[in-house]
Amino acid sequence: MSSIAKNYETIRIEKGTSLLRDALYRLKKNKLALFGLSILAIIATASLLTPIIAPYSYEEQDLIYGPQSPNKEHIMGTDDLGRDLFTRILYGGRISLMVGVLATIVSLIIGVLYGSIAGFLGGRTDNIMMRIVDIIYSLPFMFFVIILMVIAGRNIYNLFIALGAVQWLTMSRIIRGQVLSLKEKEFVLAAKSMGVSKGSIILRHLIPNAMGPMIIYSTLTIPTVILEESFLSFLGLGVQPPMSSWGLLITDGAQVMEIYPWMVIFPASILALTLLSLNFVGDGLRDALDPKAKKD
Amino acid sequence: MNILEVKNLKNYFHTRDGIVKAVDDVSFHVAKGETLGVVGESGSGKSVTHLAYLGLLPSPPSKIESGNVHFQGKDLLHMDLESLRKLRGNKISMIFQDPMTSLNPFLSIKTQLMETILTHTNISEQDAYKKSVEGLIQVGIPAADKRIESYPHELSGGMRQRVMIAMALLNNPELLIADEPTTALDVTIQAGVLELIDNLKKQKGMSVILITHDLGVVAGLTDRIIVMYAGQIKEEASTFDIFNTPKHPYTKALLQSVPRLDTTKGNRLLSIPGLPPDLAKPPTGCRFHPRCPEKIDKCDKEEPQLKEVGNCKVSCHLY
Amino acid sequence: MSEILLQTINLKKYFPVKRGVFFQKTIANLKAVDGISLDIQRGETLGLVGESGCGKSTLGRTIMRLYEPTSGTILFDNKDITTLPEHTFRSYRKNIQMIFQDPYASLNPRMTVESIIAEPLKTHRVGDHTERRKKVFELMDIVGLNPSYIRRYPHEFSGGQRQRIGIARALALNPKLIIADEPISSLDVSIQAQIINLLIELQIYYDLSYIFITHALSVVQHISTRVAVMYLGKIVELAPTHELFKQPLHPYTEALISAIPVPDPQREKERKTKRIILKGDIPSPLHPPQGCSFHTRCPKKFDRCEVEEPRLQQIGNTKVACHLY
Repeated sequence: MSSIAKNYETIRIEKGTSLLRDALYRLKKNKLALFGLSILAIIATASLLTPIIAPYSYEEQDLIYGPQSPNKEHIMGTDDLGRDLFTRILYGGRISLMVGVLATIVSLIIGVLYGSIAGFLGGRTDNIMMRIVDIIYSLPFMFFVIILMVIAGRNIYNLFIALGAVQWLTMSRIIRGQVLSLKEKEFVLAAKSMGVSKGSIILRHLIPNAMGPMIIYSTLTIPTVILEESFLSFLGLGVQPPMSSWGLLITDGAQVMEIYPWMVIFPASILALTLLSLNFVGDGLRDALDPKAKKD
Repeated sequence: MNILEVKNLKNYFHTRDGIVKAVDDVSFHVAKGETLGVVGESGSGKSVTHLAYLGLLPSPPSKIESGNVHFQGKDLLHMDLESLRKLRGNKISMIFQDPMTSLNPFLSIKTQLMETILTHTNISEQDAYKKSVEGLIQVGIPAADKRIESYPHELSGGMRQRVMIAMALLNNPELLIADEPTTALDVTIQAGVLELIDNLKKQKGMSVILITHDLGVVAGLTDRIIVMYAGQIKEEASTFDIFNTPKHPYTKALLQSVPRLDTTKGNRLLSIPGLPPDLAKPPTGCRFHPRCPEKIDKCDKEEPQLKEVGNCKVSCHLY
Repeated sequence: MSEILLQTINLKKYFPVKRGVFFQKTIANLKAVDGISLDIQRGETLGLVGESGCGKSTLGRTIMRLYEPTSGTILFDNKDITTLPEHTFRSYRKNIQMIFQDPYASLNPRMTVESIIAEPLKTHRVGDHTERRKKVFELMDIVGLNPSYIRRYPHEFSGGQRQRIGIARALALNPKLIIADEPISSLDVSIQAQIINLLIELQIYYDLSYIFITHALSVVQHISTRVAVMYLGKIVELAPTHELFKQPLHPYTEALISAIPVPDPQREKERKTKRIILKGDIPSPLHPPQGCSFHTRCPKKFDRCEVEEPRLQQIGNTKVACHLY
């Protein structure tokens, strides 16, 4: 054994590669996922910069010609009230993406905390907590959202909460399953044997290791929420004109589809493209985070 | 007569990190009725060698680069997949380390045993059933006619390994490849399973390749031993010579690094310093030289060839 | 001079097997550890051997209070620590640390080596950040790892190196007792010797006591002062190492020793003829046999064994639980 009184100041510390960085490396090699990621980046930037890049205001009407098919002034045409469709899609994207992302974050926070606590404590607590989830699951969930919206009042923030409050159920089940298998791992036993507190074990050992399924499921939740918001808007519970969301635009467009097809084609394609990209990214992440794929 | 002959076999894995030379120029043979021990650490290529010529490695990333493998005179490497599949489980059988993962949990023992027979021979279901029960009796399973109805999870580890052996022997193979057959078992169960393999081998006159990391297991069971390190054969000799007059520094070190029951307690085990090499970037010259206690100048420059020294074959510059 | 560091008296750990959805009923008890009394002297290594399912790992974890004991007493330095509440017990945890079997599973893959080794220090609020880092450097050096690797992650190390990380973590709080649960069985042969040697060196250097849990008798013979042989949750024999291997008293110990193959073809031939091959399998600990739990496989069994449970009795330096004596 070497002598203890050594000078450690001279040590040059080498950096390691975390599993996450390793996963990013693999993600970079996945062409489809990269394509999805760049499409998402473009759509996200466009939504962020909407007030600057939008050619018109979202309530500005150009009524002289009625609904116009795509032309020089209105690259995606105008709707039946003469509003520029491109502008409305940009503003709609802001709402749709915000609903998608925020509701997913809400579901992530509730689901991860609930699921990891249930899984880690186990026994009777777990049993009761998961039966509660089962009961909420068994309620027709749209009905549930509608009630929440009616009680809490119809505004965009309640929409986030209502959708997130439904989505967390699946998230909590996934996390609980992860935690149940993780807590039997020796590194958790090791932490317990050192006397690490329960909270620390959950935060430092369990949740970081459940990251893979968490990220993947989140990318799949975003499209679900965007679609649900469309449905709520269709029922008149979501966003109201002159504000718009993709769902609302598609609903409006669908009604006049036969006369003014561009009114449904453009918002529907953008929505489809976004959902497709999210799925590519989700798939890519799953492959990248799967340690079994590491060997080749 | 040699039942299996492997000459200059190279099997590489083409991975993201480069080409992993998992099996690099390996030659050996197995004589009829002989038990050959293959000893090495994980990553030494001791299992991969056999999986490679049996066509059991996924390709890509695995690829046989060159070499010749003949089983009873037939060329295995240039055989079509269908004939190779017919050979496996029939003339050549394998037993794996973990009997739980090698048995299908959804099918009864009976179904799995009978399937093995029926895929390779044209006999009636009744005869196949009879043969299956006989197979179980042969490996010492009590109340075989009742046990045959059970599912894998209803059996203990030792029982499952016996079922695996019975299954491997159903079609009277000429060559049995046992890959760490007792590693997952307890010692008292291991003793029984090893004795069983040995007795069955003598009864049926088949050849056995026993792959293991446990030097004790090969000592009592094999006629000849191959020691592998980093994808290459380092030494080949009769079991007696390997244990009594080991030649290669790696073999010597391996023998001295295991605590053994029959020697007096010493304070320190001889340990081999360092780690086995990364096969994507193997060391130049002899692959063992960074850990070798008897290293000479030549070792890191020139790769030693397997050559005959007395009754043994050694790949080392010292000889 | 021998000073008792840790003692267990009639320690039991039963796992209830439950049925039902809301109101669960216990339908049976899995007696994993069933009345174990033993002691560990300061500076010694107690080998704990037995086959899978004999309860040796559960015993280690119960002593660590990873499982709450069903009944019995654990004394550490003559203080009863069996029922201390977690916050008082924490100060005892520093004295007892654990090394685990699987170096791939026992290190959190998302943490750097530094945070893994420093976690016990942080948990027990030892030192500030710079002091802890210095301690991590020191520990890595002692267990033979390059200290410049502290920012690396576990997956960048080999199995043997990971086990060294686990050992460094166990040493961080300067424990008096280390419970090593199969610390070498998942390592390669050439690496096993390195770890065994390291453990022996550390024992001398830090005056450590070990409980060395393993199924490999040859390793136990090499490293331990005394050996306890377990079968179905009970100790069947406890003896000084050289006596146990020279003259095992219990038929189970005898079979266990004779079953181990020796790396020497000639001696192996002799041993083979005398080898005791046990019949059948280990019974399920859910339904252990009546009387002596080994009687179903024992080659020396007689009538009494089926009815009466033998008690651990002292014969010379050995304690054995068998009606033959």
